[in-house]
Amino acid sequence: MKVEHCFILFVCLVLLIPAIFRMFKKELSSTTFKILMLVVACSLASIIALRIAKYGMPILRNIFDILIIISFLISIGFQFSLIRDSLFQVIATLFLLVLILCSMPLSSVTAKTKYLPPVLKSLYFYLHIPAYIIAYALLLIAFAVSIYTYCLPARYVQYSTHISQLMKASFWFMNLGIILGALWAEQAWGSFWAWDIKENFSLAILLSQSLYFHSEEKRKISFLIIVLTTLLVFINLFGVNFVKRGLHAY
Amino acid sequence: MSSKKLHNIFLILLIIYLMVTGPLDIGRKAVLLNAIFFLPIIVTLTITLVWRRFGSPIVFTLHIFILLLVFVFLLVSGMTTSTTIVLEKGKTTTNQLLKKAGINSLTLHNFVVKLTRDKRSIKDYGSILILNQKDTVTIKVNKPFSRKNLKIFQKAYRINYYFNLIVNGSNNFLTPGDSLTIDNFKIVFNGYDFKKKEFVVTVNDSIHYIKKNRVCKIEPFHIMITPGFTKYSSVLLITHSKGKNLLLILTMAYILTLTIALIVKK
Repeated sequence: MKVEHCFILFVCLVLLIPAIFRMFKKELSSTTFKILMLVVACSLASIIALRIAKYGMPILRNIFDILIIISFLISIGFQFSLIRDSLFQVIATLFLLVLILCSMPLSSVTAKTKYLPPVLKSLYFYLHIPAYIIAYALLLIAFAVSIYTYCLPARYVQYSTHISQLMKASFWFMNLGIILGALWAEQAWGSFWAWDIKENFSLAILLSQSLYFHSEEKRKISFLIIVLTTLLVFINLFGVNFVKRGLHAY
Repeated sequence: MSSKKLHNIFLILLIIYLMVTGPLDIGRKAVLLNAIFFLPIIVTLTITLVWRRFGSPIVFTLHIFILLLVFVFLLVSGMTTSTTIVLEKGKTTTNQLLKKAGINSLTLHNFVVKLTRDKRSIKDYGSILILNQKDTVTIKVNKPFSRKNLKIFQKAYRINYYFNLIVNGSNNFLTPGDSLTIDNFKIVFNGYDFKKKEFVVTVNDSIHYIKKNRVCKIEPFHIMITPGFTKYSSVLLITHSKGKNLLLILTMAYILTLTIALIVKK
């Protein structure tokens, strides 16, 4: 078993604690939840550090690394969450658990060489991909909060602003990611847009997010749009690597 | 149906369109189809903007920038012309796009390949070009050369394998597909048949299979094929477009307006 797998299993066990507590009808204090999230974040950071030591920098070109970084950011986000409810703790941790478990089989998918291909040697590489990672992490946090408010409709009024703010921040980073990507594409491939599968799905995510702002006041529709956007994110993350290899497959 | 609702329906349709065209890889070819799907959104957005003046002034401005951005993007894409050329070391080329920027000849002086420390993969590659037989410029992936509205990109590279086709004792270095004529006989070197593990040569339309390093008698010739050498050729993309700077300015204005729109509450 790889060291990364040991860390992932440890993280999964930690993430099960809020669900176990709720099963026995016990409340987990907000401080304990924050400590749990800190442990998760530290473990995920250790996996990233391990990968850097093993495969060299930069690690951003690998789907497993990207998923771990997204999970790390989400765990940091949950730590600063203002929602102090055991149901949210369970939703948040189970959601993170699913995301990390999804990434586990992908740990063997590594780049053939630690050297970057010439096309990735650009400043845009260090700006474009992190912008997307932050956008996806914010969107997935918004998704977790919206599931919580969907389960408890009474809390929607209280937390709808949280979802909106998270969506706004995610939308901004998504725009930045697409613009930086277009500028990079112009420099490397000679055109801003190539109608590649990854580009198309990124634009679909952006449009889906803009749909959210157009129907923010309608609770059920806005929830459905967040679900659709999250689904698009997963297709975008996994689709290119396992279904159709386009210009973005390295 | 209100124009805002119509606009949202078109947005959903566009999402579906992007989801379908992405995996099928048809978006790049179907320029007209893309325009057909984008135009209704532009039209409904314009109608909504003019008719309803929805949202706060900043949201209104943001939508105007989106409209301008899409419009200019489609315009710039439509006005861009590009061509791909493959150049071997020492070869010179010219075309209409190059001439538009005052480049009458383009010579590949050298193609530089840097290998990684383990020698297993290519670390970096680029071309040293000579423009108009006097100016030397170096281009690399991500580092194109630009002059006026013209840009020369290092798109890729090709490895050409040359074989020595020894015909009656004289050396001829050919790549698969090359041909030569000797005494009214047209000899075409078709390459290597991996199934038969033999080279394929056509002499006056009759196919012959020749083993490596073995002399084969094909009247009136004695032909032998031996490995020759490999040669890199540079694949360059040349584009000529107008309005890219306007597109960049609009993009900056859009991101700035978006930032303000997202910060301002109402």
